[in-house]
Amino acid sequence: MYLWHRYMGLTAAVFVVILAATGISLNHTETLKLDSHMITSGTLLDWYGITAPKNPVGFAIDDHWISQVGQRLYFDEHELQDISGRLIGVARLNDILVIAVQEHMLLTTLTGQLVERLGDAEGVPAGMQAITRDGNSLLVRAAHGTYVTDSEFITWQKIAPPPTDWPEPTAIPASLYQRLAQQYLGSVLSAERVVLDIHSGRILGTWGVYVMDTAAGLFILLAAAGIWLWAKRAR
Amino acid sequence: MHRIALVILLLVTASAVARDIYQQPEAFIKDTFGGEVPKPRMLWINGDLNMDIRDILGHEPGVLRIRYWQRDAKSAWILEETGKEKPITTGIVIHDHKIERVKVLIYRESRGMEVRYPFFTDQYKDASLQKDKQLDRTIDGISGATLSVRALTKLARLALYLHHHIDVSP
Repeated sequence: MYLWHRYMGLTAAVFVVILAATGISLNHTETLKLDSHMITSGTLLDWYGITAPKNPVGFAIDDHWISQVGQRLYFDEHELQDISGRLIGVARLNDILVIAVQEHMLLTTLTGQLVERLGDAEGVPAGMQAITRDGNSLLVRAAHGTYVTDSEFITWQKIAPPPTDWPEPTAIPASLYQRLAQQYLGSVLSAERVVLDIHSGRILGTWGVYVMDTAAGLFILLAAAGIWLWAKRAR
Repeated sequence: MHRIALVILLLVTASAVARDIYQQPEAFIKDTFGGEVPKPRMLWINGDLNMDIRDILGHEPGVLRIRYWQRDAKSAWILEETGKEKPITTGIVIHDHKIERVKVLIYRESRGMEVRYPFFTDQYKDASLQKDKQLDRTIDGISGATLSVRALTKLARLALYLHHHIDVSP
């Protein structure tokens, strides 16, 4: 039994160190900022099979690009506020840029600083499909019709669809996509996720989980053997 | 390994779009003013106002103007603050410089949604703002929802402060 206990102990030692180190780290996730530290290692990202979304689209306006990569919106290379929905249009009204996704609008300055975010509470029509400027007003083609709003986005009025060209998103320059893809990849996988997966064994897939389960079983056997040996000696 | 990748990508995508909508912001505003919604007004954030908001939130406001609805002594605000990772959209009604109602409208986090229940939000009723921009009371937290509680308390303080600002501004 001594020999078994010794060999089990030696085997278990490796897993004890891994579990203890990752466990302590997870107990102090906030202090160590594991949830906000993002992994940029190409090796780890490849291991997780994480790639940047393909087919990014955007609108060129003045000297800038408003682009969408996956669910993320960018003003040139600066990520805009987290907002879900497909980018459907960009227009300039005086000194304000209007960036429309399906259910929301972001109003920014001409340098990309967020002025306001508009949703249904502010009257934004549901299911927006396209926007375009008409003088000092904004036209919105939405699921239930065409609307016009004033420059302050206070009143929304349904109108008959005007004969107008509705701008469509286009492919963004390859060089811009490369830079945005790098940014995107560096914001998907957190250190916390990696530590959790090491702790559970999931970093090695299903078999890694089984290995950790076996290690846990080994710890139980180790404890049982140790208690048995102690009890035997005590007698 | 690709199964892990699929799970991660699903979690990332799901976390990006998953949300519980308890009330649409438009409906909250309609409820607040009994169906006759006043025209929204804009409050531009600059100078001292920006600094004070930064003090309350602990970070820059993130926007240059805030929309609000006001009739007489009552104002309504739709504000957002991040709990752990995602913004919590909250409707707050102020009446006579006291909180009349706090309602979580859209919750996007995977944990901590207990803050939406009246047992928690009722704590803010009649709360007012002290000179140090803190609430006049302690809000009892919820185990496992510390960050959500903190976010809502910040928004409550912010709404009271903004109401005071629009009420006393020339």
